[in-house]
Amino acid sequence: MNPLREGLLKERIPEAQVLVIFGISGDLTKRKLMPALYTLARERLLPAAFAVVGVSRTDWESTEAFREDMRQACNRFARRRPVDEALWASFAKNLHYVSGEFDQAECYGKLKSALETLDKELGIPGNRLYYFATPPSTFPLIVDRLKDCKLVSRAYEPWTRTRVIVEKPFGRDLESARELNRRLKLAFREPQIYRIDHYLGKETVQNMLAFRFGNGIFEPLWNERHVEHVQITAAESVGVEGRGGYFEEAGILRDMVQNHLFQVLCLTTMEPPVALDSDSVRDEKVKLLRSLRPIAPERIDASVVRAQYAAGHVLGQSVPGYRQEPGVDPGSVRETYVALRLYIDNWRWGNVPIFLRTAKRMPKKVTTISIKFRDAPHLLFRSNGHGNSVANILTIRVQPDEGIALHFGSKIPGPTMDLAPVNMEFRYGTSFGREPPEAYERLILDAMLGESTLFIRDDETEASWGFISRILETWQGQKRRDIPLYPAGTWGPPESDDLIADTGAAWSQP
Amino acid sequence: MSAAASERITLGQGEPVDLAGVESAFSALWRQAGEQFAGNNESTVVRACLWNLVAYLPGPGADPQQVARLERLLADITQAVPSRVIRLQPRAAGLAPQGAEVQAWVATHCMAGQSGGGTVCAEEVTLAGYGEDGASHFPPLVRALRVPDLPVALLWLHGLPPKGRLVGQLMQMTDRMLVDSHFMTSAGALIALRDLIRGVAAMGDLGWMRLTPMRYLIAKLFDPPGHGDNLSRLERIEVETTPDGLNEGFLLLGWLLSRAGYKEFKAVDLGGSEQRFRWQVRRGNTSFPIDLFTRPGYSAYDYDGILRLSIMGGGERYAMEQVDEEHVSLESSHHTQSRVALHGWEDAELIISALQVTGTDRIYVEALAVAAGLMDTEAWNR
Repeated sequence: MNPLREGLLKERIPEAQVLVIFGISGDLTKRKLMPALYTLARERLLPAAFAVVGVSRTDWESTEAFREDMRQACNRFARRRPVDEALWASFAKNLHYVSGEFDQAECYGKLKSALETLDKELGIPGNRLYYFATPPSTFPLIVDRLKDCKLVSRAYEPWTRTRVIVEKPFGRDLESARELNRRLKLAFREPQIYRIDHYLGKETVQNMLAFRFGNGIFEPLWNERHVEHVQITAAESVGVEGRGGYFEEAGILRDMVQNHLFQVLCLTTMEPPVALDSDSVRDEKVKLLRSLRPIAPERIDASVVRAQYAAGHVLGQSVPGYRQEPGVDPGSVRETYVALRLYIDNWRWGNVPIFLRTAKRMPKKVTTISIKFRDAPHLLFRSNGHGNSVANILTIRVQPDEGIALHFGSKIPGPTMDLAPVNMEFRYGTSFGREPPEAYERLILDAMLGESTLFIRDDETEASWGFISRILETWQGQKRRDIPLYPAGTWGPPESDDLIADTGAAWSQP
Repeated sequence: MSAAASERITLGQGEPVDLAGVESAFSALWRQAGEQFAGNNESTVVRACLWNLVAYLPGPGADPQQVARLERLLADITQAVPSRVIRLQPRAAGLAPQGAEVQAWVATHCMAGQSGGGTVCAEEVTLAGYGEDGASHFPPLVRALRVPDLPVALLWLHGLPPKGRLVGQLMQMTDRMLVDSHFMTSAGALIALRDLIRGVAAMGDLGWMRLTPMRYLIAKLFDPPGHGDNLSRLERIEVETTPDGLNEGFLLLGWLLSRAGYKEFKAVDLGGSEQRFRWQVRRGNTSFPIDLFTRPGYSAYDYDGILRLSIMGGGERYAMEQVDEEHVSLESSHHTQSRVALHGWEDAELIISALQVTGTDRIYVEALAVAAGLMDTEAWNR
């Protein structure tokens, strides 16, 4: 026990360290990681001694050419752009790369030498944060090589910190998730592993904890006595964006529900954690996932609707159907839309239906959580023949236009007692006068700090895959030759309306 | 922060306004802002406000550099923390315009919204109080001008707030007070600060917050299993500071002793040296010496604060020494690092982070109590 540590953990100053990105030439690095790092530098949130070493098969002409490539990426994708040249100059001098094949020991020898030089030059005590921004198939290979070259250690080191960020997907079913966890743990202890789900880095998703557990007025209503149903929608207007081959293998159930939607579901419905430390929060999430009522194979079709987009129009553009996308089998039955009706078997939620919906090629990109509260027990204003009841819905807009809206009924000004729906709105942009940080900014900073609350623990991945795998196995056993279609630019197939109409509800129109 | 400063457009701040008409003057500025930004694509002008920031500025005869520093700080803070800033500016009684004890100016600072939310503007009112009578108007004016239902932060960053009715009244309406013990140069300032902290809902001290990166590294020396226990078996502590960093030295000692559970100490007379202090610390049947001294005339680089710390405990030695402005060396019997980077924060960043937490840092309160206790012994008063 070190009494000097007391009170220090809440300070958000990362220790001096080197971030090693495997896959530095990839899309994720250019679109998300490098812009996030640049913004962190802009906001002076990076440690005084900090460097990035990228590892990639790509070989640039020179370090300067590599840095220019990264500058262009930030100029395209950073929150504040174009980049501030003076700031970029100071940030870029700590960007380095090592080229080589991930399976070659030589690559790791070069990496080790580069890291030792940086340690010496910058005064970094050997702290490393590895980021696997590569296809999941390479993770075990990279882990093995890092271990062989003694670039990682499972042993507790009081002086140095070694951590790893792992990008999704964490497996493609329960079995492969377990195998991935096993391989990672050959080189790292679980507290060193940071499984990233960028949804957890979104300010509005984190705000769910603040909203629910930091206010006294909502939590008493957050249960089966007052909530009629919950809807979580994650809609994308884009199609598979050239990733037809990947999507054919994955499908949207794996790509979105197992990770993003289940994380949002957890934060929306879990019990209050005893503290805000990483294990307390994640314990509650695991409890929630384990409380999901299993869907019997013969009930899957009644509880899970899958569909695929056909050609249509999205945001003023004609777009092809999924089967016409490059890399997609013309007879594919892979789902690009999925809607689920779930129940949580615990005291809080009883028989409250929880609806999840996610899809490609919907009318717009939007992610919302809607809590529909039960109607007033006595419809007083219906009796006079003038008014009606108005649904009370709390909507949390995760993206875009982040905020919270409460819909309720209000008297229409005038001599009659008619009610009309009105909104009470909170918007991040206008209330705080500044935009929320990008998810990757928050998550990379947290990993550098060793704060793992917003990352996914091994038992979380296994609990969520346990549920999803049962659906996947049933679908596989059905050997369907066709799948319902929905025109691109619509909110999904009629079957999904039936799914929710069974309970007397309707999908929200976000 | 300086990059963002160029994007700020200020409206107002010309002629003084009638004290009863401050809110009307703001309304006029809002209309002006609405017209001025009406041509933008995002034409909405949004008033953003999270805090009432009451800044007490130095009075007549203040060091111009200090005044300029505070002005820069305020500009930087308000860009990150949307606020209504109420600047309290004491002025010499002789400068008062005829018949006026207090004058007011209003301004609105506008910036392009960062999330597509139009133009975001924040308000600033400057109150100039002429002489003591003028300053006595400050508390009721703050009460009247604060945005209702938003917290009040009182920024007193240029020295020790004096005891008295004015400060007491301002503290009463304050949810968070921010001070900077580094600039409290009077003898025994930390004793007064310890007493002051009891009268305010919450306090943040920039002098303490600047120590945080160093505290991280010192804590790290005691991370290996078993070494934390050596803090309960201390044999000697030495702290060396720059001449102007003495308060930081006291706070660092206060932190170490309070965390390790030492509360009894007695000053040792070293024979009149003003820059060297020694105490004998007792716990149970054992006692050990601690020394705090400054390095006279030290100005190797632009740094003020702790230069060296040496701790003996449980038969082991732990040391940290500043090697340049941004690096320290760390040393213990089991590990040596000759150059470890030290993360430095700008003062505006410290203030912004202080506004984001609630309550007073308990570790600080305990460290300050011990630091003030050390000051309160014969060593300081001899």
